Amino acid sequence: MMRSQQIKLCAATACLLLGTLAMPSLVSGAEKVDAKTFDRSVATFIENHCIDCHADATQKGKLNLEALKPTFGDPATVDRWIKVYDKVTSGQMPPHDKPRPPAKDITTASDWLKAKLYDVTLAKQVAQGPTVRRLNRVEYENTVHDLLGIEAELKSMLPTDGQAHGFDNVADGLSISSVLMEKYLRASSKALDDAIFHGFKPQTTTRKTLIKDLKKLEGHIKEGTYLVRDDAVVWFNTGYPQMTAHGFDAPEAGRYRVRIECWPYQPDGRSLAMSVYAGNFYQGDRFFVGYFDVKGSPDKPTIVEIDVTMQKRDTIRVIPYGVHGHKVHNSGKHGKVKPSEYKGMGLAVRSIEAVGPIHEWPTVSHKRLFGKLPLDNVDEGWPGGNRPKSPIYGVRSSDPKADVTSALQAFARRAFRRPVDDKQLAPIIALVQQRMANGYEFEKAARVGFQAMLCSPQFLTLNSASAELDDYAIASRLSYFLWSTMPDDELLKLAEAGKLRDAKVLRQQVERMLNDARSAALTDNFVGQWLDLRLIEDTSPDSKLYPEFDHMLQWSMVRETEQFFQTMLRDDLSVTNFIHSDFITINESLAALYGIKGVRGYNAMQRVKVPADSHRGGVLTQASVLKVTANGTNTSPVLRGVWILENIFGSPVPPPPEAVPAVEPDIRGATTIREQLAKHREVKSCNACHRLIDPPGFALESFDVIGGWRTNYRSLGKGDRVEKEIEGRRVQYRVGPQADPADQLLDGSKFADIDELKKLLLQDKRQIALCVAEKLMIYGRGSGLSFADRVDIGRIVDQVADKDFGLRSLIHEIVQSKAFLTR
Amino acid sequence: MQIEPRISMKQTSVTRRNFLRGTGVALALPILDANATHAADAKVKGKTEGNTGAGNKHRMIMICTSLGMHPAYFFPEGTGDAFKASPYLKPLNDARGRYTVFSGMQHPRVDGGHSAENSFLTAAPHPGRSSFKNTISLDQYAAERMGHLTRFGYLALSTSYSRSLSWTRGGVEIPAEGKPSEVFARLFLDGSEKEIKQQVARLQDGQSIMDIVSKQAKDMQRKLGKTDQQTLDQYFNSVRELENRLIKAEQWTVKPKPQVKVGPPKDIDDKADFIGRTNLMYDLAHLAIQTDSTRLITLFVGATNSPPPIKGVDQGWHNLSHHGKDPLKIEQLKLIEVAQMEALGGLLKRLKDNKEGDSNLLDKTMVFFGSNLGDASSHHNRNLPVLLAGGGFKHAGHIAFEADKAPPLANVFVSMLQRMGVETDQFASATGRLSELKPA
Repeated sequence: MMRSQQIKLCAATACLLLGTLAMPSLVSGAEKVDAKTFDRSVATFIENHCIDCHADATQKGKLNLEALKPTFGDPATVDRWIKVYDKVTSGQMPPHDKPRPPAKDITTASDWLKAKLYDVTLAKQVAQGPTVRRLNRVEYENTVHDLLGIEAELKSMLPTDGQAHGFDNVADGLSISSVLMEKYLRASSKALDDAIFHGFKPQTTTRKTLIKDLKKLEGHIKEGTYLVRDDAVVWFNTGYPQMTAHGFDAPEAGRYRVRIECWPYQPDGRSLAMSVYAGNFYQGDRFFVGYFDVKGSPDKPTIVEIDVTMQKRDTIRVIPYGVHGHKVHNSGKHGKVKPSEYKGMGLAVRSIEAVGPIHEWPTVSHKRLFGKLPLDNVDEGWPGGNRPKSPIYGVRSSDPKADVTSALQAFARRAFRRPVDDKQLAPIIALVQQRMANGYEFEKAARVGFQAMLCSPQFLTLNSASAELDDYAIASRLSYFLWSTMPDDELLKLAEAGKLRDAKVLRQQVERMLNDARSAALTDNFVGQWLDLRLIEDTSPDSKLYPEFDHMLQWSMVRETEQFFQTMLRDDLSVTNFIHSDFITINESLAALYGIKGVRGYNAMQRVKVPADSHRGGVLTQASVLKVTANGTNTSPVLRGVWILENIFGSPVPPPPEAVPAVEPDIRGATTIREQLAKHREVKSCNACHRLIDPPGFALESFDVIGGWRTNYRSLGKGDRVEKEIEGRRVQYRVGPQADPADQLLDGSKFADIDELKKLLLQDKRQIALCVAEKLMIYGRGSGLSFADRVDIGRIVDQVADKDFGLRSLIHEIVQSKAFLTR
Repeated sequence: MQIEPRISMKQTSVTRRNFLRGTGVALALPILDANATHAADAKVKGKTEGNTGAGNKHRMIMICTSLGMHPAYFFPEGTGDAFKASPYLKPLNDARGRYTVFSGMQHPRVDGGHSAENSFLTAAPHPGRSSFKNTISLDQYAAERMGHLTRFGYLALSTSYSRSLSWTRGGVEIPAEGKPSEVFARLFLDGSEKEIKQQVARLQDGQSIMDIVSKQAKDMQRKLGKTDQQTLDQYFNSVRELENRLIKAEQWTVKPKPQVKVGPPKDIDDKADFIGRTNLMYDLAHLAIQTDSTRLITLFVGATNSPPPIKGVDQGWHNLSHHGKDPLKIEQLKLIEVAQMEALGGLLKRLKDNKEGDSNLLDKTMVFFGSNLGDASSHHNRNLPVLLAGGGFKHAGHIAFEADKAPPLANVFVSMLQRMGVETDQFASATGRLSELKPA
């Protein structure tokens, strides 16, 4: 079934529309009238411009237009007509070597088809209603976190979600199996274990540790690997021995506010940063917290303050970034300098302070689950003599039966994101009461009820509660679009008041939601998938070819694109900025890669004007995009071309025919990809698509696999050596053949390089906006687009033309559209 | 102008994979045996008892290494029994005569480079396309029919992440387990009496919950009254299926687990040491088969980026596989891939040396090994490096098919299923069993 075409209007609109369109009984009558206009417009057009190649006898591209009748009851026929419409209106058909039909003919034919296809696809969507889908694992985790007030990682307990139409929140990719149900059962169990408090009351303590006093570091200090200066430990190396604050360990699990007091030692005018890790380093279980700039002096140290959730006995590790550790060794041999004699920059850390575990009392989870019930000493009647020293805290209820019922009722409204009637809840309450009767304690019995709700279809699925989108469903649609989580109280209250279809209210809410920290999810999940940022770690660049690549650079790449998107969203900048912008958002690491001077510091991405001699600006020239479209060793104009067509032009490319050998990469410096591809393009059947795909990909040949600008490829075989040192080592790569970015687009317009290509692309601003709008609509609704949706998106885009296609305005118009609010 | 970082220093908050720390239920739910609802599709030969008897326990271990095997070093010269062992087949010399290596084979219409790993055991076409929907994997197909015979219907293992070769009938990936110590605990360590009691209680709660939510789903379906109810249908069937499996799991929970002489393995933290991790998984696979804890095991050896701890290798595995014909890279790649084949050779030897009745485990266990990539450097999915060892076949040495004339690789799967006692001549793209491969 074509699930991408499911849409439902609210009842009133549906009747209106169906009244003027085609109710099943009216179809035959309407089609008779249609037949005449069809003959005049479409049939004439086909006869004049298409039939030579697509007749019964010819059937080029397996298309027989003689057999294609203007009947729209069968979905396959509708799909074929849509394809015909797309090919003709996009200018791909008739082919370029045939005379172009007069514009008037195209309009007459396409307008008729457009109206017809709009009606039939919309009617189908209305009949089917909004697609029911389950939450994906990111949404699941966020929702459970919000519901229960916990932080436990849950998403990695669930299977990876399938993607459809480019996103993992689309119904088609989100199937349900018993394996998944089993994982939901486990994940909810884990979540409730964390949420239901039963144990000793946590004590918040403040611990400040002077690094020089850490026992574990004594040996290294004695050896001279670490120096002690101004009461701080100073070091220069990034590898062994690692500066791990063993002995500082977290006294118990929970959230800690950690403050690290540090400064650059012997600053040499360059920037210093440090990476911070937390975890149990004995067990190898650690995670990256972030990079932080280190400035100041012993008198005015930098205090890096971070909130970290740690387990018992976890500690902190700090690694300097920007030092020249390769020059230093405490042996002082092999051309290295002893730390005490070294004159270069090092990292000085004086103290680490941790306040925690930070918690509210009663815990947030307790309040979310049990409301006002006391979280109290439940230590009475401890069996045997092993009574612990501290009292045990748990939920106390004087009227368990009534208390559990009201707790479950309050929870249900939030969990199901709408009011819940008693009848719906009755079986769950009955189960809990029965468990109590069987001797389960209050918390344990209540837990079964909460878990049932976390496994129920009302919780796990969207659009399933009513046949058309009511205000509650709209509240959820908004919050999963902009926040990837459940609606908050304000949205639910507006839904209750029936105000969520009010244009003004919607505008206010979208503004509020985009200004809320939760909207970071839109960047993470929408941009992360649209621009494939999630794939950033999939390849690791060859260290001989790209010795300048490091973790900092990769970390910065993703942040650049995220920050760029957020800047556009915040300032309502034109979507044309995705193609070209006069600003970029970079840090020192990216500035070095891009050859841009004057950017200092790593932690924050800074908005910088693109220098005149730079080729940067827009997402196509961002290192993240250039890296995810390459494989770590080399680049392929084909893969990058396909990527641009799909993600920037919004026109997916047909897959290559089977059994066509792929181009075999060769980095020995003898051949270039252009030479290899040229052979490919001599074959007519290959060239049909490759003349579409390759050109934009070739423009990106000026950028290597980590996003650096290049005039020549790097080679590990032939070529001149390069006079350049990185970390004290001469680079091993050589100057390979020249990269040639010039080509021409399908319409014959030539470009010499990426700058000229961008100018060509910017000529059609509307097309760029259409592509972005379509992606946003797919993601925002969690369903594929019907023909009617696409037509409506055209209208949405036209509405923001006077705002220069501003990104924020575009999101507003999408939310206000019928396609979003009713289908 | 300075832009605030998305996560400012003050607000940086880091959550983590703390569930891995075992703060959850100490005793994890067993991987439940598959439902019996599909068992009627294909009959298991001699009914189920036939495959439970000590003499007739057939097993399958299916392994996919995700970055190909350098073709020049993998495929042997000569065909039939007289083939000359290639550099990569030499480590399997001990099992010579007990395996068949294929050349020229692939899954028809399975392309898409790396994404073909999703189809390695399913043969579902075009895994790289956005419209791709996966289908059931070989192990799950077998598990539907015989999974109920053992404590664990199947084991889905992985050396990295949770990527898996096992996919459900509906095309959902079954997350693989990557921690040998945890798998070992589930297989062989009994919980305390209290833990078992808690486990049983939670399984009973789970059953009650499934009962309630399945009714909710029915109510919602009725209320919606739409033509398209795929999601709710799937939900309803999944819940019913899980309820049955929870009942089975409860029965297994109270039975003691088999005891083995070795202690729990120590997990390898270094992701790059995927060969060490593979060996740990091979050890577990051997133990699981030996104790008849399961008869179906998949192992996915996922790509890694850092250099593995092998002498002479200073580049990452994934990077080396994109060798671009650089001879130095190919030599390093060879060191890695030979080490992989040595690990496989070790598994085959352990199975062969393990007597079972008057036979040995290798003759009772089909070990299917290969890659979804025919050539990692050009990323194609044809002429896959694949071999089948053990399982009591009359092994034919090197079966070489001419390019484009090979039967679908899934024909090998049909032969394997038939060997398992499943009466079927169909699986995914298969056109029948592989006639060149005969039971001993």
